[in-house]
Amino acid sequence: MLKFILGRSFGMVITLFVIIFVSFFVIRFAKGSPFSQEREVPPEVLQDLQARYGFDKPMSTQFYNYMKNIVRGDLGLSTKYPQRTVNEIIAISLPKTMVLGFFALLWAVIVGVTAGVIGAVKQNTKWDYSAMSLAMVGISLPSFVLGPILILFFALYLLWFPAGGWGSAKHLVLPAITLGTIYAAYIARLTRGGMLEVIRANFIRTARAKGLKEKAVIWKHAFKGGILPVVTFLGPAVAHLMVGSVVVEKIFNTPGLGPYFVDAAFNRDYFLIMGIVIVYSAFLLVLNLLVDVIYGIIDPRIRYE
Amino acid sequence: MNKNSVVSLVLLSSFLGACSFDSTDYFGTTVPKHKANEVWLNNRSEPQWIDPNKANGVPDGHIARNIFARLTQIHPITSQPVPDLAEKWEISEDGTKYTFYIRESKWSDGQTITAHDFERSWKRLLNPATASVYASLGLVVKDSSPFFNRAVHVKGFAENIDVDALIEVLKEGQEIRIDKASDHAGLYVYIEDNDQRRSFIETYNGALVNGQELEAAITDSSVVKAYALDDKRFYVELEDPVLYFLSLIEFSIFAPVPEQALVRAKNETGNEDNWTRPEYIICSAAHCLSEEKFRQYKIFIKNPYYWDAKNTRSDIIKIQMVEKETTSVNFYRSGEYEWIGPGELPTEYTDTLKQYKDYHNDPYLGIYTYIYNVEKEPFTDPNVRKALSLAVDRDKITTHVVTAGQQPASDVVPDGLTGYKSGERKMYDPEEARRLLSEAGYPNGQGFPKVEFKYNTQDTHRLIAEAVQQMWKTNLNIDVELTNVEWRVYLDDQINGNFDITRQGWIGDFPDPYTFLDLYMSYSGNNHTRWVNHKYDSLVQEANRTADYDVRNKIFSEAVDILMADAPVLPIYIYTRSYLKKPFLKGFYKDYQDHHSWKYMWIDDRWYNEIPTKEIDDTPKIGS
Repeated sequence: MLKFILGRSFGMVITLFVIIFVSFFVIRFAKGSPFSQEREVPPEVLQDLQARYGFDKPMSTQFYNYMKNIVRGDLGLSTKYPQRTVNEIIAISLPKTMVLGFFALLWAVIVGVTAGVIGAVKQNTKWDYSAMSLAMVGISLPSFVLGPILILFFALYLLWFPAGGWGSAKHLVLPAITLGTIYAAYIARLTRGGMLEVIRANFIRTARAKGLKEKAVIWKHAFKGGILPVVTFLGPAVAHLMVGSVVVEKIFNTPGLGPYFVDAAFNRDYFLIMGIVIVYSAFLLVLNLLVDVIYGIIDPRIRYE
Repeated sequence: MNKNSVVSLVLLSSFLGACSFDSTDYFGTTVPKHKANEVWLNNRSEPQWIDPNKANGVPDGHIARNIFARLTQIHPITSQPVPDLAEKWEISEDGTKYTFYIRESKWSDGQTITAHDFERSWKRLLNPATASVYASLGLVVKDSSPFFNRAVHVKGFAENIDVDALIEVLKEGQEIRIDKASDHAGLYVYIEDNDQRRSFIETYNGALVNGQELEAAITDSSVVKAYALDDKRFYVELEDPVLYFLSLIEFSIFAPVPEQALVRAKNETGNEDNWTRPEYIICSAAHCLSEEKFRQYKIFIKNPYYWDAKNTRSDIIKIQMVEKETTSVNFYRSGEYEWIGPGELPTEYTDTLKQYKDYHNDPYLGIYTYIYNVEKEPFTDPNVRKALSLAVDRDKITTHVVTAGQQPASDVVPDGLTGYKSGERKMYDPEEARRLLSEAGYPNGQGFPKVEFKYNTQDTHRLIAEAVQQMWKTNLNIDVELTNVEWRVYLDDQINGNFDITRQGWIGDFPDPYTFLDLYMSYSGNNHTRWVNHKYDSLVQEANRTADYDVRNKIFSEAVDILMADAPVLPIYIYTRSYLKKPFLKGFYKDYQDHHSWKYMWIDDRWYNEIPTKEIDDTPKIGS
């Protein structure tokens, strides 16, 4: 197991390096400058700005310096928010996104798994059909439609929750539901599918034959096996939720990491884009590894040698 | 539809009807979420700099202006410059020498604001190492240009020598710009390239040329003619009698910055820029920053040391950063702030929002234009440019496409700006347009090359472009292709002349016609049309040397006639600013530049408590 983890970690470092290398040059060769604006920036001023960020040096030197700084944990300065380092911006924004992501995930798992299990246990009943129809709606409803609908009802008409922003538990409810619903829908369908497969398996029939109560059969035996596809799905889903959603965070004005995926690119905020790319990639790689490890724990058939 | 779903629909609609909490007159809540001594506003974006010398753009200016006072301030009703940190001033007969008398006023840490603070800050602004994007507005100060451009200052030679011979020697036969210093204190040699400049200094510093031992070094700030005469008097000399100078220096970049805060931030964090964080900041205006949450909000509290603090109406100003237009409308509606902030309302909402009493629409100092790249075929021919311009029906655009009250423009300067009178021109004449086009060699549009109209991705720009494209097709029978590009690419293409026709919006930096006319000067870095007309240049320069408004405006009109006759630019409309403002927010005045001072703002709690009162006095108070 340890050997497996070490091997994978080594591969992850290589992957991360390749990602950094490619993104660094792709973004730098994109047209447009972080300093251009409608009003002319005087050449002397432009020179000083370029020098402040080291953009006046040859590209290879810049990459070398960047890598050197990354190893030291320094992600550079933002050009859009010149008083702040990328480290600081990520340190401020990432925790908020993660909190939101966590509650979205909680909503997704609770609602999704419950609906999936009900669907599987009461297969082909009205329970199953309504759960799966709702899941279908959840999958087809994009967050830029669901978000405004929720705001309209719960924030502007009922005044139950704020229309957006950050600060209290109340602020989290609408964005977490908006963000989590599509995942809840996927999880419901995956759980139902997984459970149905397991429920028909021989060991479940054995369990029933032993005279176990139906509750124990479902939750102790079937559930563990049926949930496997969900675990696979959760890896990338968690990574995605933890770095935030551009759309949801924009609609609710959440001061998280999500909007930077678009804004930093539009602003040609080179170091900020790189910082975001690195954080996201690292999350994705680590969580994929974690999923593989959890697999081994849940499913007795999988062993890492 | 079965019976059940009909019932639920009816239920749903009655539910919506019953829950609609707002009156029909106003959009959203009409009671604030906070105490009456606070005012909550939107800033749209997290500012880049609140350092006033570096403030760059609307979100920066909105904050910097309200926490750092300048020599003058614009009176919210008369729009005229009136004293702020300067108590009074003297102007020399020729209008080029100003002496400002600094009033008894303190920083928010209790230290006195002196003329030296102004000298340091103005020189900091003009120092290229400060990298202030708007610093070029300060170049009206005499001898600021060699300092700002890091020219090489050559001095040390006797006064009676043949300076022209010396200049020839220094030029070494190359095209270098060399100016004589105004007070005969040497020469300014402008070399852009860093390495060349360094080697020039190495060559000539201490060198014997024509029997003179020269000193050569990069120009330092001591040459700039803006300095303290003593603690109380700040002296500024200008290149020309800049008639709008007292309005210009109201721009936030001309505010003094507190040296003590910069030094402390540098010592404690190693980075001077951190001085505007709440831990270090020291302010000079009615409010000062006390707390901030990045990209969420900033809280400002009343500064008791401000000289006019007795007229500051509210104790706390809370500024939120809500960027997305539709989200900012939601926030406004649910009462998160009283003013939706500097910027635009979503175009698609205009017609709905117009019905409410808290929708406002004020004139705005900005113009929306199309520009032709005069270096590209077929726009090298003025007749082609004129033909295309005459084929555009602006009235249709301002009645059907943009509907927030924008005025069709027939001039590049808004009418009435410091007494300027916009020219009367026939702006729409398809007959004449067709005639000009066939004169240019394209009868009925035949043989007209494929040209492209470039705009930055935004719905309003697209809608206008589609309308204009249609007008060109109908009136001239020519096809223009529309291309939308992302903002940064659009800026790059403008700077590099990579377009045939493009849109250009321009918001005036100061209330004077020159802020718009500068765009077409042959040497202006903002002249993206690449149009060169020396007659125009010299007229505008002449006007700027004139110390009389009427004469000046007449010369400006002459210059604009030349510009419009040659048509490198097609003015489309004058901007308006539409916004939402809660009815109980008082002390909020219309402003041509969308500048709104926090110090006058207050919450009228009688309004929502329904206490009947007689008309309130909502006039701004300054001093006394």
